[in-house]
Amino acid sequence: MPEKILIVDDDPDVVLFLSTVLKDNGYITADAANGQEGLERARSDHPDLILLDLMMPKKSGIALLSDLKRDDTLKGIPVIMVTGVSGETGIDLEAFFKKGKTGDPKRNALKPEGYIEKPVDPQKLLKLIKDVLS
Amino acid sequence: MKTHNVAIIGAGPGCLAIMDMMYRVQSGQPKMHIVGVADINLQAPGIRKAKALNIFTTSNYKDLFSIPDLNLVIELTGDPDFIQTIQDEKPAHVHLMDHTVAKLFFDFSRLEDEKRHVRGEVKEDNHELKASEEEARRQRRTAEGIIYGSPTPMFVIDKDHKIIYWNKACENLTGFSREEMIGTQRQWEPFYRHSRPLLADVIVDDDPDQIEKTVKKMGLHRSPVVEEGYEAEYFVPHLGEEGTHLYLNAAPIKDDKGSIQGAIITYQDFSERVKMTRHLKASEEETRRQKKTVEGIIYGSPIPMFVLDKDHKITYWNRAVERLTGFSSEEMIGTDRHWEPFYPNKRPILADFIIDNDLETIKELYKGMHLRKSPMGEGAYEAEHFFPHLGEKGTHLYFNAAPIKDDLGDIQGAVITYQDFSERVKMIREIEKREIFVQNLIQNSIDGIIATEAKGKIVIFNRGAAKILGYTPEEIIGQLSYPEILSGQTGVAIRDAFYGDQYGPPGKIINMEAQFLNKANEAIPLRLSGTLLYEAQKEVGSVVFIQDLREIQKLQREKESAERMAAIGRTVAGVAHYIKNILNGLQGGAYVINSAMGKKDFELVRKGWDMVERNIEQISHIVTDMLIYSRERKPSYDLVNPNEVLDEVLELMWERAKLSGVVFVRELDPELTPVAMDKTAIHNCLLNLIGNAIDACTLGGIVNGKGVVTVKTDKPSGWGVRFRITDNGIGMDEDDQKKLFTDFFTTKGYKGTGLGLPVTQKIVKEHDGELIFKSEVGQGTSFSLVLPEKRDFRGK
Repeated sequence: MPEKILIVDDDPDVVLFLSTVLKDNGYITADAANGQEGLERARSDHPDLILLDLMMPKKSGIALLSDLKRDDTLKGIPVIMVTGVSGETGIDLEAFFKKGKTGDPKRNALKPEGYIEKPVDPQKLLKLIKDVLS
Repeated sequence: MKTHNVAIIGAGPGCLAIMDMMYRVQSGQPKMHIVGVADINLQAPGIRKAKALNIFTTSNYKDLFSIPDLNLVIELTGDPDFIQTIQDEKPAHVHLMDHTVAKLFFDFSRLEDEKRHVRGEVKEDNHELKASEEEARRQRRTAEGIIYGSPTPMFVIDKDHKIIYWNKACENLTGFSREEMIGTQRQWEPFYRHSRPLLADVIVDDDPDQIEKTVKKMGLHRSPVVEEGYEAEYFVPHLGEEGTHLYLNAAPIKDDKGSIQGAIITYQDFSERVKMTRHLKASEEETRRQKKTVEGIIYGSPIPMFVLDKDHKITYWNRAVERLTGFSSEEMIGTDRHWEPFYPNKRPILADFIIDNDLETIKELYKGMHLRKSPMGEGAYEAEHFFPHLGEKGTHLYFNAAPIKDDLGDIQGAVITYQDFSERVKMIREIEKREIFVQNLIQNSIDGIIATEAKGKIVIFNRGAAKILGYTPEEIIGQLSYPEILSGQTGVAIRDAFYGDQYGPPGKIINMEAQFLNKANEAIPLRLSGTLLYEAQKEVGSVVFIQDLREIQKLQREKESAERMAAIGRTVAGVAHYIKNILNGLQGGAYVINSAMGKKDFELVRKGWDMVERNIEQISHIVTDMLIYSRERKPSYDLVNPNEVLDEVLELMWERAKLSGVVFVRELDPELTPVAMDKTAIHNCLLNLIGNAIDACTLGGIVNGKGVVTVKTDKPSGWGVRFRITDNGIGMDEDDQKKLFTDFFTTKGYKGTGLGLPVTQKIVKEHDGELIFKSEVGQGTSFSLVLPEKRDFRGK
């Protein structure tokens, strides 16, 4: 049974690229153009993993991540954040995500299971997905 | 017996008669000695006779008054006015007998003469006696006539104190008529409240004791004229409205046996004279007081002054001039040393020339000293001069010399006043220095300074203004007025700004931007401040300060350019991110195509290729934006109808709006006329603004029902056109609004370069236009892009 991966990104080009990469490697994909739609698709499609773009208009990646991790039915779905340049937001995302895993479950709540920087290297992405899903 | 020295005024027949009589009746009579005769006619018979008798004669009666021991003056001119004149002018101790009394006296004497003559020579001749009595009666009647007609008030009582004569003049004096008085003893009535004896009654009674008492009481003295007569001056309060001052002469009338038959009383009304004398005394007093006061004023005056008499001698030298010169009044008064304080050598000063009425020399000598006629009076002059000799460092004096003239206009002296101008001159110098300073300030100010007088003629046009506008001050000052260096529209705008409160309170303009025409008829953008000048609430001119905005704008542009360069440096990361995104897309597209080729999935190939193309387009966009933003460029102007440009943009955006579910509302002003603009650049701006408006409606989902973008054009006064693009989208919060024109700021995620608005703003500024926005979160955003009229643009 192939795993289903939900791609949430406002850029259709990114969606097309990521879905091509994932389909070529045996995954099933679904996509959403913004955070709101992403939340709905997460509920309806029960994805095995979510690839989440950090910078989106309307509900941002962080906001969606927070919603997902607070939702008991959804918080089990692993999330990989896809980010642009870390300096852009003023937040050191690398440090944030790497140090994310601590003993405190409340703080863990706002941590994604993995992250990857744009431009996305397909091989790196596939390895990360495999790691997160195993 | 005392000798009477008599002088006669009026040498007519009466004089001859009196002279004859006097020389005839010398024996036993009062010794009358004629000492002088006066008549303006030196050929008059009395004069000739007097000369023959070796008596002093003169044509001027006043000469008589200086004859030593003169007692009596007999007036025989018959002129009542002249009597008063003599009365006023004669020495006090000299008595006056006027012609009427003299005639009376003469007649009585003649009568005596006749009687003696009859007694001695024709006693036995009855006929002769009768003739003589006849003659006496005739003479008495004549005497009565004379008495009655005499201008001298007189009355006669008989030995029973009854009035027998009461003449016309006496009627006038007393107000009692002859009819009611004659035959009565009421002679006291005009003079006293109660019945009492008059001097005449005392004389008639011939009681020596009584006479003695009356003499003492009334201050009587013996008459020098009439034997046993008395005279007195006294005041009768009872007579006339204010009382009357009378001169009284009373003498007994005796028969040939020497017994008293009556008395004759004559009066002279002295009231007027007494009044005159008193008045004269009072006015002399007043004059003396005034003179003293004037002296006091002169002496105490803070104004230095001195007075010269007509002999150029100092008569006054006041305290202030003492202080000014250091010369005391004691050493100066009475001398002609008035030159000493002012000059090293003796020389005449202005006052001396005025006393000598030497106006030619005055004009010659003082013409270099601001000589001018003084308003102080006719013949007065004033001048200014620096006296190096006076004071430690010399003194600058203003001096005024005015002639002192008598009633006849003859110069009797001169008064000289000084004003020490040293302080004032110092002050004037100081003011001049400041004036020069202000002039320098005006001239060397970088700001252009232009001032006008009330009628609008330009009176100040400084170097700054000359530099900005390309005129020389000479070409402008007094030659041109504002309309010639302003476009008419600007003139109106400036006037409105002065009188309105758009740029500060009425009467002032603070930081208005305007355009003046320079000499080459080019519009020069200026920043203008100014003020209307008022004097006593009347507008007397204006002054404006202009700054060349070309300079300022150039500096502004340089600054902006530097800021842009800094911004580019600062935001390399932003650009890098953006390019990285595009790179993402390109790599993604390449991957997708690669994958699709392997699967021979041509639809996927198309999708991948679209991706590549879109990203190439993105590169093209950002490169264009960055080039526009980073490069200094001048708009390439054309006259374009703003509505046409807007329609072209709407046409281009139509598809995108439709796809986004946004509708356009188009409200264009059909009256718009072509405006000078860089069409491509403005086209880009409108694309940016309308694109933003569409995005604002869709970015957060449709906020207010259907997305509506309203585009309007109109023409605000003073501007060429205003584009207004209003959306009902998400709006911006304050933070976003602040960052709106910051480079690479975007809320549009992958879609925005963050350069659209900065580029738009730059283009608008290059057009001297303005970009204004209003935004409210959840309500929408409105952008106004206004372009100036650029009336002077005449196409290329």
